[in-house]
Amino acid sequence: MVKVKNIHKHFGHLHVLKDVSLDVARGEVVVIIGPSGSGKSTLLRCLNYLEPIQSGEIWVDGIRLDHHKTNIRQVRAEVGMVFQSFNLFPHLSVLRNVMLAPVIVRKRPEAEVRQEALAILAKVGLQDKTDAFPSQLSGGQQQRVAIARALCMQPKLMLFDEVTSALDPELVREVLDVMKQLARDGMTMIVVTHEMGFAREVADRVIFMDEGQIVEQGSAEDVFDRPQNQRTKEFLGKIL
Amino acid sequence: MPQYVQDRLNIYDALLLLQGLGNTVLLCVAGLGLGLVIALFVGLARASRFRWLSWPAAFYIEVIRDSPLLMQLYLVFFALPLMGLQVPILVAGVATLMVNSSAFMAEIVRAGIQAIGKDQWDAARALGMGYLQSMRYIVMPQAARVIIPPGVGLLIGLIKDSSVVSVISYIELTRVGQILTEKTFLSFQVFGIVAALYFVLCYPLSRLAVSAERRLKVSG
Repeated sequence: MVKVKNIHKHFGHLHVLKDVSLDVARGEVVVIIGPSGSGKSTLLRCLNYLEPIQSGEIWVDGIRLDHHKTNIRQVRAEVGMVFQSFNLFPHLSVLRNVMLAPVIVRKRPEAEVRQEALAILAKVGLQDKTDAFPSQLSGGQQQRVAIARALCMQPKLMLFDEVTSALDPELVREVLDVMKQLARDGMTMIVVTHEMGFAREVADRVIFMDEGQIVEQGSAEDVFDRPQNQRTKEFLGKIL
Repeated sequence: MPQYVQDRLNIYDALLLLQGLGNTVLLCVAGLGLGLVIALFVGLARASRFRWLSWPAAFYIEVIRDSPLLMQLYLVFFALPLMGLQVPILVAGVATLMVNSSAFMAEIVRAGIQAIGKDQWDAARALGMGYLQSMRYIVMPQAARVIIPPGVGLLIGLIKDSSVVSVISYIELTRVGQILTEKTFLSFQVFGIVAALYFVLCYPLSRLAVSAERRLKVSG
């Protein structure tokens, strides 16, 4: 589903991703953990080319991401992304937020999209908020709208970029529950998070990143209970 | 008082005032309307990350903003004919207002576009929207809220400044005022009426802006 080959990414003089390679299979749930500044969010943003890379190759669903515009937009339509700060469109109602891209990007008929959007909103528990505006919702509700918005594009892959980090503690669960359900439904997911409980419960594979490199990866049990690398041990020691 | 001085305004004067009002409306609708269209493109270019677009736009904006409207009018009306390009009065007036308003408005458009955070672009791009789609459906509707108050302020200012076109003898509101005072010496009454007519033009625009702003208001 995703193939990342030896990518390098620089922000000016800062070398943020150093020779990162990664394969993600269809239906796999990969959780990426690591200290802030380790490049995990950047890696995620490279996967739909919100950030360009300087060298290496990224393949998503058999299409190579390069500077060719149609390729990038084609891939982005297939890859859903959910952001830490929700990034809902504040001038549109919840339903319009969810419907916009399928209608104008996928060019699907509005009536059909509306049905699907309502179904997805019901699935994330927001059937009674369809006419509300983002500012009228709690953080947890906004983030569930953001997930619904991504899902309505019928993506083959979902990227989650620290999606619970901006939420009040009591709102984290409702978002994680939606993500767990998604994982059970077989969605391919790459999740950057600090929620270790979520990683343990859902992840097929946990990746630990530090200083722009993948330091260690394996099953949740392997990485959390039997970390091999010194840096992984130090990081887990700090947060667990 | 000598016989040839008319001591009150008559029906013909009233008609002349109406004609002046109509011509001012024509001048402003055409000049400012075209200016808005140009401003949209210049503003988009100015906000572009491509220097080959943003630099020429910045140059255009600065040159126009930093020279007087009256000189621009003189250049169009008196200097172009020297180069063999004869411009009718109305066209010269419209062209001048168009160019002048577009530069100021472009800068307001740029500020509006840049007020919309990178987050919104990220979300739009991540959903597969291109530049034009993101601009049309996500950025512009939100930027409008930022653009409208100073934009309408600019338009109101320019409607009043359109009075400079009277210097090339275009029979707009101010020119009519001058003609009537020369004829009647009733300066206070005539210019009072002229000022009131400008108010009638500008006030609805002002109200329109308030209601548009309210309608576009996004709580939070």
